[in-house]
Amino acid sequence: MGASRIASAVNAGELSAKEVVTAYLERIAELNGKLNAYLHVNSTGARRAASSVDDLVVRGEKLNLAGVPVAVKDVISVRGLPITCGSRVLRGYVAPYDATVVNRLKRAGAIVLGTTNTDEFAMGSSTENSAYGASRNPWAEDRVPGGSSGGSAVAVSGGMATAALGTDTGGSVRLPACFTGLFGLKPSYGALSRYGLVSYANSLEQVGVFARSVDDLALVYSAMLGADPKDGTTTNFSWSIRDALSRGVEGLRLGVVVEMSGEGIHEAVSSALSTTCKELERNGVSVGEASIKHMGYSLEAYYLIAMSEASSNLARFDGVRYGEHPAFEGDWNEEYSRVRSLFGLEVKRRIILGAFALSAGYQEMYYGRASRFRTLLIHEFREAFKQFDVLIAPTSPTPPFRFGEKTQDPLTMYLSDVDTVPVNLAGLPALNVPVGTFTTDGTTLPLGVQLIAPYGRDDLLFTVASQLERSGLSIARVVEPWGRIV
Amino acid sequence: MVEENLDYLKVIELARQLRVGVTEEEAKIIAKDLSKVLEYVRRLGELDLEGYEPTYSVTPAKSVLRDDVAEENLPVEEVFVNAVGEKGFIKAPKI
Repeated sequence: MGASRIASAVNAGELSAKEVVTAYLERIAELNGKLNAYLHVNSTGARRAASSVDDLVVRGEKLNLAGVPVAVKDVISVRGLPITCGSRVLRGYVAPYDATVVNRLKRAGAIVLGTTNTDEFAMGSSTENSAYGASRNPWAEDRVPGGSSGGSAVAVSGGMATAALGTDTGGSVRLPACFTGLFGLKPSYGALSRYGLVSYANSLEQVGVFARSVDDLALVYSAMLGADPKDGTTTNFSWSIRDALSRGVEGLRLGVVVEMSGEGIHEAVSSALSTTCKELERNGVSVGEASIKHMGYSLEAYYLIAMSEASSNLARFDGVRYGEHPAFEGDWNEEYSRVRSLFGLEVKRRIILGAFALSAGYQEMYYGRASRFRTLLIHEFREAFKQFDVLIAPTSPTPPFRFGEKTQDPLTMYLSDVDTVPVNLAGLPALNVPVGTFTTDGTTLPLGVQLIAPYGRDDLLFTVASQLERSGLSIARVVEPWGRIV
Repeated sequence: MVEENLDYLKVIELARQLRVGVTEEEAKIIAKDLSKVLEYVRRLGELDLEGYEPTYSVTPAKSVLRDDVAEENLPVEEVFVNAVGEKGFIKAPKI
């Protein structure tokens, strides 16, 4: 059952939030051992929150997300729940307050079922970097669910949550959405508050949403929108998602990004891309080729910026105020080093490479050039959007890869993000839409493509995705392990 | 080989400055990656970026001061739940 149906049934008194939560907790108890989507299940808290929602409904309140069960990535603060960021460094830390996005979901009646697995500090593309074990993709036992928000993706595709929050710094919502057959939104930078989100690369990351329908995505996203005085980068936008959903696509101009759709793309992905374009063309969209000439340099710039920001942001973890505590034996140099020795290899790699890229004599060559490239990329996107309303490209060059396939060489893993990072550098909104499946060696895997809109025009993504869903091309479903589609 | 060794020493020195404990094995792996990743990102040097100012944030980042009005903050006892405290102070390692 989708979010809108749950909310209207609970608001109408036909279903209680408590019944919804009980059913979901049972499902989690049955499946989480196999899928490792949740790191912490909020059984008591969720039941208590459900009772409060039921009480409010009895008193006649109407809540947009009444009783809607959601999962939250373990880098976003939920008051009273442990927050580890998939790291040993933060073991034992209990979030003392709600992130603004969580607070807004709760106020709308949503129930937080628990916190979900992630690559350590959101650094990864498969969840294999989590200190608490990888999440499994319900589609196929040997395939990664994508990352870093893999736990949230698995919770939604495995039917253990109606919707979930993730974060997208370089593709960490879109990639797992693509690998598990879901809708996955990365909003415009500044659309959602980052207050209460543990920073990794603050100029790139945004909270995003996973859902199994465009309606659910719209409902959850709308509940969190709006400027937040606690995050100075947030902005109000003037569009309404409800209008965006009812608007037709006729007359829209769609640009296929040539730099992202040629060489090195798996043929199943290419075919999903052209099927999507044809479907939209049938509905009155004009399709052409868009060029972002220097896009091929994005990955280099992205990793330099992300690592530089990480080396600065992660300096706050010293164990003094929260997380694993110092032993109080040596001096602060020794104690900080010991606490931080608990970071995983990928996190240490990024902190050290980032510090190097920022060091005297190298800063202009690495961080400086990457930041100037960012301006060039933004300019090229702006030019493309003079000709097109929405761009389309693969979300990932390949379907979900196997566990262990990319863990030996960091560059190979980084390349998984080649199609997603340009959007983060430019701060644009983008949405993975599921587009059918393909079968290899008897295993059926989901495919997806991403829609990209101009800065601040997230509404256009909803208009196009809604059309694709109506025409039956983009359908997201609950998947039983391993691969039985419900 | 000489270059690899240099990277290893560089990694050890950076880790020391950052106060991030690394094992010898981790330092070796990171040193190997350091040269590989730097080699990769050097490609950015090919680009002519003349006239492009750096972008540090895609939204206009300006500091905003809120009104000087007292707001409710986290109660001290809740902050202390996550720290090692003594007599109303958070305990820190010795300097």
